[in-house]
Amino acid sequence: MSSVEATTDTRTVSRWEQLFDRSTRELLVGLLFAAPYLALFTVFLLYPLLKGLYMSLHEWNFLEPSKSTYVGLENYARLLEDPAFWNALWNTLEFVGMTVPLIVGISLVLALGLNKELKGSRVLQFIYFSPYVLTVSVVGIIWAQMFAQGGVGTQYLGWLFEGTPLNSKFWAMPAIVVTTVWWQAGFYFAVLLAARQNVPERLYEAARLDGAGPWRMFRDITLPHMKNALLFVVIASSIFQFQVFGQPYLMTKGGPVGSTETLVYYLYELGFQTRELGFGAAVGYTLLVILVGVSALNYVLVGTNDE
Amino acid sequence: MSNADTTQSLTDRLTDRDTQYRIALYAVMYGLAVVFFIPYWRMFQLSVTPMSVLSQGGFNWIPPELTFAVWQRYLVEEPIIYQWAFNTLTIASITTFLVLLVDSMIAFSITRLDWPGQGAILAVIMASFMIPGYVNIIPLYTLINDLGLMNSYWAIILPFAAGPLGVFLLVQFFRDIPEELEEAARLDGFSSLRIYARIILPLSTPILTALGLFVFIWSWNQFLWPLIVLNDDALYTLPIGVVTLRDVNALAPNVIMTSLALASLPLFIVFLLFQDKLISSVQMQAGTG
Amino acid sequence: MGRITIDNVRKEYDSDAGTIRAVDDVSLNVRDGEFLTIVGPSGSGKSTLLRMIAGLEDITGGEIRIDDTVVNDIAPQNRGVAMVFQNYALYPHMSVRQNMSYGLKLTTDLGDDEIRRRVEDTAEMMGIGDLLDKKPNNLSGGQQQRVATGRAIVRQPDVFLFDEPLSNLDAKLRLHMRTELQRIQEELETTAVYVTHDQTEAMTMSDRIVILNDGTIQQVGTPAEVYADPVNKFVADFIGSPSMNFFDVSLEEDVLYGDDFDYAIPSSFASVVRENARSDSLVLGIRPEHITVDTDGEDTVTATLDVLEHEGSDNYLYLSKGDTEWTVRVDGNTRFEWGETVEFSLPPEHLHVFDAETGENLVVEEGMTADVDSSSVTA
Repeated sequence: MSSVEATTDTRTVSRWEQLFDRSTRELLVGLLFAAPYLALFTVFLLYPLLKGLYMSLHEWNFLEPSKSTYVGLENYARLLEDPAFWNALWNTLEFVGMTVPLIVGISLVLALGLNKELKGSRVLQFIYFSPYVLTVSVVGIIWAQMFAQGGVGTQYLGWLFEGTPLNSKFWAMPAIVVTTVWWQAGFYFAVLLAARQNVPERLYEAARLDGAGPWRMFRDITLPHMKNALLFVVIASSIFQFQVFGQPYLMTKGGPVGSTETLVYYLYELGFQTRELGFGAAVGYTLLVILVGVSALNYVLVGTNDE
Repeated sequence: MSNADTTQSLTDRLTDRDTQYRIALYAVMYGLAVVFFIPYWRMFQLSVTPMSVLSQGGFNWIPPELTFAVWQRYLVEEPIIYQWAFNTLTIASITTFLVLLVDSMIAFSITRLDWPGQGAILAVIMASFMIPGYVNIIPLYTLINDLGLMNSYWAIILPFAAGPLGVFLLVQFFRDIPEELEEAARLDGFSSLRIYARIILPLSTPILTALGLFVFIWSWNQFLWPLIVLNDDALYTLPIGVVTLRDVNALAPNVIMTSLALASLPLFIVFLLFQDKLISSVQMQAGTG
Repeated sequence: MGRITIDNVRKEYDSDAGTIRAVDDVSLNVRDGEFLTIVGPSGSGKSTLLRMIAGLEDITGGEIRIDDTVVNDIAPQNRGVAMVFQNYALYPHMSVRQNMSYGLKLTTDLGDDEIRRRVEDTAEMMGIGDLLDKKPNNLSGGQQQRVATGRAIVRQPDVFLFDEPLSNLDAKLRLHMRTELQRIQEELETTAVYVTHDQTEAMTMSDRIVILNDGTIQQVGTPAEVYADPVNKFVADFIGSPSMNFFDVSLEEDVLYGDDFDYAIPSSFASVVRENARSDSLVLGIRPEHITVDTDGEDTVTATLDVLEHEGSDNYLYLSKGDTEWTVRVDGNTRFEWGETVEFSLPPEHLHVFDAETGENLVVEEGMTADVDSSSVTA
């Protein structure tokens, strides 16, 4: 049963192989496979990024870009003196500062609770997670109604504020925070639940034999094992919440008196309402620098914690 | 004898504490579930409350009268929601398909083929991971405008497909597929294209499903960007459409809420069908964070 | 047909520490129908060499021919070779049948019926006929191994390439598959190149063995040759289990002087050593199974028994005197006590003397030299 078919005549070099040597072929095929994404990446991500920098150095004329004038760092200087920018930055920090701890806390409670054997845990999981699949406009509009006259929030918490929370300089931001937590907590809950389920059960058995109570087990076993997941939750939610736009746009229009105007909202107004594109690009770049700084800092923290 | 007594009472106390603990656990978990559920209930409740009740003002948990008139109106009489749903579905489907295709191709090229410069390219793509999508919107807007893509699906699809998340996830996954499989395939006469299509892709179905679901949902739910590039009623996606409906029907919460419920329904069904897949896709992303 | 000619083949990698030469100027001929084993420690370049034959690695320099075709630039699938991988590399999403038929579909123009027939015949031969519709993940390790081998056989290649195909099996199954693979190769008369780090596999399965170290060929020969006449200390140490005993010695007159013993050797033997030696520092080598425990030799060595190992038919004695340790194999029936002083002799026909510096065997019989080219006589 020695082979007849696979004789020397099959041992040939194809034309394609004659034309290029092996590494050239590999390069050509490699580039061919990489090309579609690289094209998208270059045109719709890299190019705008560079163009943004260029625009931010100009007084940009949207209708006739050739008539834009170079102004150097003037846009950035103006930015630093613009009280609206500082207001937006402050509001954003306030929002992130309230939202992230609440999200982390609630998603952790949900994850730890659901890790236990509960009747109906699938239904519970569905309810906690489901807001995450909603679009921000649905979320924003429902909660705007919840906080409107005759809404649940106003009905039961009305004694806290005059009128409705969304019309109160003090309560508008917390209302947006509550909305956001409802919308987003489920996502992070799912992350933390997986992390909790990955903690080996035998560690708890060993700890129980060592005489550890629930609090000690939480502190000495659960938390250390979930550290990376918790860090992810903190970092990812900080970066995401920093770019909050839809909720204030839909619920308060940035008001009252600019008290819920966030950075991306400010950027949106500059770009698409007042059409100050050069200045807006400078705001975008500033936001970029802030966020890259935040995530770089976080990467350093995570990196050193990983060891 | 006395020894046995103490152990007895100890286990009694333990089970007692255990029971209390479980009661507290149920109370907290179901309590939170009820709180989480209230917005849904209000949406549904208001959508079936007739205007006559709403205009009286006042607050109800359960409407005194029921009507499905508004549901009927948007499901049967005014098909605008269908148009929006179709737009959203088209955009989300094309985006998902495109992302899975081009991301898996480049991930294959980077992890399974060997050519100079691939490391540098991967590094640039990974670095762009740190750039949040929204900061680019102004230059991107001028680009879309220059390309004449305003008011088209592509204005939404193409920038989304340029994102690096999928490349990142797939590169991680493809790297772990054993090299020997590919070598066996080469000896069997597979071309690179066939290795990609017949070996790598079929072996990656879990991650492709996860990524696909995720991209679909994200793309479906986009808000700010479509708001900027779509200015034509007929082209709106559901997230934008419901906002215009609210602005038009500001005084009719039942209309608003019905439109919200209808807009949310498709993804709710997707979620119901793929609950486990979707949740594990969320977890997969975190694993790479 | 399946002759392989390897001419001055090199493989170099670039790494952070400069260029690494994995295979260094290797020349070798594999005869048609031969079972040739390449054996060596990890990092010796044996897998790299095999993968160059397969076409999975580029050849940095030199030439590989299969029959009369230079295959350096020929794609793997067109070389007429089939390979069995260490981890089997079965396509997990395809059934056994699909796994086995894929290569035929892509590299031949056989019809579906012919492919089906061939796959079924091969499966029958491998004893996996009833597994054809299962997925690899549902098979045991041994079954997966058979499928992997079957996938190679069904291609009816000119050359089989095996890359440590048995190393993932448990000991008993490995023994069984060893004879099975030999049987199949003999039946098909297809050239086989087999890579392993396990010298026992190499000794039991091969027509000829190639011993590779640091990318260079140490010796090529039949199992009997490399066992009886290792060209250097490396081969002597690598082949045979347990390993050969080695002692640093010097030669004065006709007596070898070790640290804790001296031993007289025939003067003809001594003169050969003296003739070939380039320095005074020598290494004496003798296999545990060649040491004879008796008192009637012309000269004897004594040492104290430290450990006695029963291995069924054989006993292994671990002896010592001063810092010098001996391993001796004796019949399983002989009785020894711990602490006993044992007297033994070293039959001169089994003695090996190596240059301490180069490791070269100073007493190699004529016609059994390590001349690599001797294998190319048949080419």
